Amino acid sequence: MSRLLHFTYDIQLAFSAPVVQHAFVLRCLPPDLPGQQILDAGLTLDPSVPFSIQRDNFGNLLEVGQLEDPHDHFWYRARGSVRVDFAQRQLVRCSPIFRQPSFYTRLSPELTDWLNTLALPQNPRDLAWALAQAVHDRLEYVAGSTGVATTAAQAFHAGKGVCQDFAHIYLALARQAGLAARYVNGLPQGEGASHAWCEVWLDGLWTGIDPTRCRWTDEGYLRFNIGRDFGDCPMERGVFRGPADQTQTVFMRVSQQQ
Amino acid sequence: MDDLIRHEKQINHQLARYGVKFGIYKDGTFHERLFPFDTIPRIITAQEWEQLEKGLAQRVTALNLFLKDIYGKKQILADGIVPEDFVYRSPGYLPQCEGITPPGGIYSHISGIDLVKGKDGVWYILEDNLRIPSGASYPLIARELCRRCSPDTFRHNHIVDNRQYGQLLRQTMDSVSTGGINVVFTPGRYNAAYFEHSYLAEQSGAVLAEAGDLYVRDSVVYYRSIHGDQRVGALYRRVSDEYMDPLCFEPSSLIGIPNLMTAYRAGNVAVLNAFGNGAADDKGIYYFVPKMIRYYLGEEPILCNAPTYLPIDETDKKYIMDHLDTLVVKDVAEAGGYGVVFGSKLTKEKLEDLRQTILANPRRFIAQEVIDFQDLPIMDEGQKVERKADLRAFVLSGADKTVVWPSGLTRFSRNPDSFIVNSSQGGGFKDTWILSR
Repeated sequence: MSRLLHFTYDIQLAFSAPVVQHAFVLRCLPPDLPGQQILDAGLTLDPSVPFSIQRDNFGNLLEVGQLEDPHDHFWYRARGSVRVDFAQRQLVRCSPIFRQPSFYTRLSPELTDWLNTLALPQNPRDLAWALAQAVHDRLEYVAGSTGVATTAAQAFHAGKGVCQDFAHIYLALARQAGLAARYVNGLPQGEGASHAWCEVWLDGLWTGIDPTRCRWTDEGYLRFNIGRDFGDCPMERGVFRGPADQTQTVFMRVSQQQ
Repeated sequence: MDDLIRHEKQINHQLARYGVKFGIYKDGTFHERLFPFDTIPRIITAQEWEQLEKGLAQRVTALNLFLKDIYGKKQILADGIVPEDFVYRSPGYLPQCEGITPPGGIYSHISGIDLVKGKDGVWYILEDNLRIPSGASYPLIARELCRRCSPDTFRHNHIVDNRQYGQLLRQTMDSVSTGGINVVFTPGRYNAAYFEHSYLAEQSGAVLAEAGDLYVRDSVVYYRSIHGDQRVGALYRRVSDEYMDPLCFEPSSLIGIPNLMTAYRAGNVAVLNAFGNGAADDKGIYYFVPKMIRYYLGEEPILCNAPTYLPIDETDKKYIMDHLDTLVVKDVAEAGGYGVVFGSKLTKEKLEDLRQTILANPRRFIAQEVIDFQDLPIMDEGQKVERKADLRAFVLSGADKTVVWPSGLTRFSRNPDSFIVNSSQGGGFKDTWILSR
């Protein structure tokens, strides 16, 4: 059954003092993907500045611009409606880059050793599932325990992390075990913060799997960006001038329309 | 020649005044030093040069096709000529460049190819430098000073003029420009190679700019000039990939241009050299360059590689293990003469350590036969002595043609026992004469 999803994604950046020459790259609009059709989508910025939209090499949408004048906040709000329909997915070729380790998903001896202790099935689909279970069981979800710079090896060593870390560890192991796998960020149906999960290339289809929640994804998962790991597709990046601290508030909601 | 030797002090004094220097890391700290010039030139005959010129152009043409391929259709990987993981595990491979074809389809506009001439008279390629190789300005300015000191030398010898480098550079930039001014982008006057940046800007008629001088608006790069803002069509940047755009690469970079990558991705600016070239000048990829030449051009390589062995290949691995004490081992991720180990210089224990390191990380190393290369005479405190020397040839590739600069940077080791001639290891340099007949 396909789902029609409506989403809002709000980010509020507040600066402790005015900043200038603020250049940004956002990736906070979902693109059309096999099985995911954007019906309408828009982005509002405050202060209001023009931005341009580009597509990067992974097919993600980039919203790019700059605020020259002093400002003490930067809010952006994405909203839209999307039809997710797994029946519309098509067989695709897999880029070889999703078979290789990347910065965040590099193996450590500790990770390799642990992988070698697991009794894993041969069949790729069963293998993909067994790894998700293993990662989910091994790692403790602790909000705020890691940061955006934490690698799979570091999070594994600590034994805890957030969705980004679950995804990175899963990718490191899956690629080493011979699967092609990629990082996905986006919004699952519900409310709260954005989420990260993985896709594994099985029988020519990119198939979603969520190691944090230990489940295959369904049509309630709205995909925003794809990459080898977090570093390829952060939902926002910015640089500015000014002696200011920055605080961020995020709120998202994805609901199903009947 | 004696006339030149007599002027050695004067020429070096002038070079110092121009700020001809470079930076080296020694024992973990950064030092700046002058680049000593030896007046006895390396001489290459017309016949020899003809071969070198053809071979270098051939090699760089293939390397450019390789870069276009791995960031595009990936045919050479699909055909199994180069293993996938050699490309995608290389630290120089940048996924951000996937699917982007730079203006003119050229990736390596300025290539610095390092060669040595063996005692057997054969030239061997040592390495390819496709990430903004430095050094062309040194022989340029030195030739200029030599001409001034001893005009007769250049009247009586049939030496190919090399003063067109700036013009070649300009033509290269013009050929890929998307419309707008040419810019040489420098990290600034505290950079060790600032002399080179400013000299090349002057010689090519480009504007010399630093981070604050350039900005991106609506995916177009602009230069803030006193006549108003000017669009930039070609950017010859002398800053590494990772520092060029804090929004795409290293976020903490203060010397980059925010959103340069969006202008590049949109095809609105040519960047020389293109981003991501490190995937092709890795020491592991070096092994495959002769194969690339056959694959893309259907030609036999004119110039040869030094005999090279890869630990990931079983036959090669056995050879390396059996001959480690006579081979030179190089870390593929290092450059500038760092991470190079000669088996013959190691104690038994160290040799064993190296053996284990290679076995543990086979992808990280290559092993090569030590080329016994020809010595060149240099003047050392009034005495003529022989020292090891290499040659960096500069190959310029524009949208329409690939040209080898009829000159080059000859570097020599000051240390009589050293084979490493890299300027970052503290050597000197010479002029390189190409004879016209």
